[in-house]
Amino acid sequence: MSIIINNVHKSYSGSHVLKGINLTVNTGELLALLGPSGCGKTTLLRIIAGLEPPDEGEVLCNGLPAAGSSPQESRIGFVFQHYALFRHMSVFENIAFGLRAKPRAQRPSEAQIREKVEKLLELIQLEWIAKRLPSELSGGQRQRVALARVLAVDPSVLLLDEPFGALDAKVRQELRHWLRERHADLGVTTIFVTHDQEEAMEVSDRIVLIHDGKIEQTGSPDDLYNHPVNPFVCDFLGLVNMLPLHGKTLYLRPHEIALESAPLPETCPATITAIRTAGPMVQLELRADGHPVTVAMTHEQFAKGDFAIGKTAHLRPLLEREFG
Amino acid sequence: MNGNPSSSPLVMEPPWVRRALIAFACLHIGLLIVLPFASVLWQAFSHGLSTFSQLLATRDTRSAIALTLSIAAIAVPVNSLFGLLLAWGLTHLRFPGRRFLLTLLDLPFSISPVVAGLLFILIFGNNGYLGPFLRSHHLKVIFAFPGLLLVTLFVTMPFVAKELIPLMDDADHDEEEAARLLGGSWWRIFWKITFPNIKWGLLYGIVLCTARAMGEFGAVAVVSGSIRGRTNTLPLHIEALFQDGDLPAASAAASLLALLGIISLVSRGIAARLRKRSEALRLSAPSSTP
Repeated sequence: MSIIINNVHKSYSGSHVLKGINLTVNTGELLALLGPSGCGKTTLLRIIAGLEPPDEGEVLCNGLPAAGSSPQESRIGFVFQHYALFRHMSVFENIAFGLRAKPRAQRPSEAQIREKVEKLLELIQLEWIAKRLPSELSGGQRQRVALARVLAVDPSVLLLDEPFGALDAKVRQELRHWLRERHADLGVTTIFVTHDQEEAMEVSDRIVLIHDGKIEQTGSPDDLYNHPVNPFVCDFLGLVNMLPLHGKTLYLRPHEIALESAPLPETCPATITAIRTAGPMVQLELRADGHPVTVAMTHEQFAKGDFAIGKTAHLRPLLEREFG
Repeated sequence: MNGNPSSSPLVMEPPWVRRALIAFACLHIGLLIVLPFASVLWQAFSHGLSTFSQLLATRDTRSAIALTLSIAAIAVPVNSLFGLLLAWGLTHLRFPGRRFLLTLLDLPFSISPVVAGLLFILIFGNNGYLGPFLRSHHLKVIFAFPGLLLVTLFVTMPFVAKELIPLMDDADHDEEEAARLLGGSWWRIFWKITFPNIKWGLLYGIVLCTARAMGEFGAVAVVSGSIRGRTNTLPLHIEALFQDGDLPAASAAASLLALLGIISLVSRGIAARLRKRSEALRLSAPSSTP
């Protein structure tokens, strides 16, 4: 299902949370709504789900207004940040809820419900927890049960609010991978909200970066990382150096600066203040004319050069990125 | 969660201070609660069970018990149902004046019961606003059953709602929203999601409401007119027996009322425990972990 968001505005008690959002989500896409806390991304997700009405503008699902249609018609699956599992029901009953809630004419038989829930439990690799209560599950298990619960009603859109936010790093990594695979299998249009740019880049096909109620940039992870349209996007997507050079201010990522041993026309001198290994790269901290600069290079490049703390190196920008 | 005071990290006082405080608490409760209560029971049973059988043999007493029970039988279900609806509305709907309504809900608790009784006299009494209308239709509210019921409804109105509002006011209603997006109808959401979360609180509210409905004196005294055998509730009947100087009978009637109180105290304890257990379940449930 495609979703078109037309000029959506929303205010809460005087503060303007969304200031005219325009966005088209294509069928089968895996889209990340990325932004700092309080930028309005969760509000936008809730408006798409129909949990809140927009003050202005509209949301069209497959060309039809989403507002006013029943959840069954719009078939939206929403996974809440804290999962919102029904605490008085077993995992089985949680997953079966959407099937049992269908109008009598469409409601599957008890045997069909059982079969479907068991298939979903298999999909989330948690067959043995069917009888447990949500309070007896770990965070990662709750997350997967919440996903299975919305998948039970065959949603045409999947909305996930900070899906990995409350999990520890290792589980988060596994679930990201799992979500990507499930998306590839099921092909359901998926929108997820996150404040973690790494997560957005790793999981999504396309990122929508929201800041202060407005969309700053929309594009592939590569677009946003390598071709940011403004300093905010550039800074939000990863570490960036602001380098004043020959009257211009360049925004360069650590690997976009080379270090030369001798001055060249386009270089500027800097003093090395720290050297550390950061996984596959070596990171050097320098000071150039009072500005801190971080440069990253491969271990191979590092071994070739003659770098030591206190020595002078010459910064050579590998590209010219500036914002007027 | 540890109920043992000696192990509480907040108590740093030396043992003798602790022992003195515990002794004081026991003495305080003993003098103010246990002693008077025991003396009522002692008075009641001083002539054996015969006082009770004589008391229950009188028409006035039986009528007072029947009146008290029938008022409670109507007031409690009505206030439970409306309390439930009120709590749902005040926690799920946002409208101007909501806070004001929440404050008004405390009114029956904060004003003196005598004033509550007078309010009804002012409305339904012979010289009240509706007095002429009622008289012309031969309807009797004050000094009759409807008046007793109305004041009881008034003074017991907030119990169920006050108990349920904090339980339902879970700031965000994630579980209910999740159920709605899964296609649940209003009724299914209420019955399967909301109700299991509030049922022990509801029971607790009903117990408190029942205890007050049966024990209310002040407001009822104003509108009753104390017609023996007709408009005397059990608390009013006790007062009447006492005024007659029949201390053993008054004590026996008082211990009957106290028995009802003890029953509700015990069920209150059970309801509170069940509520606490379901609250613990809620705290460990995923929706409230940060």
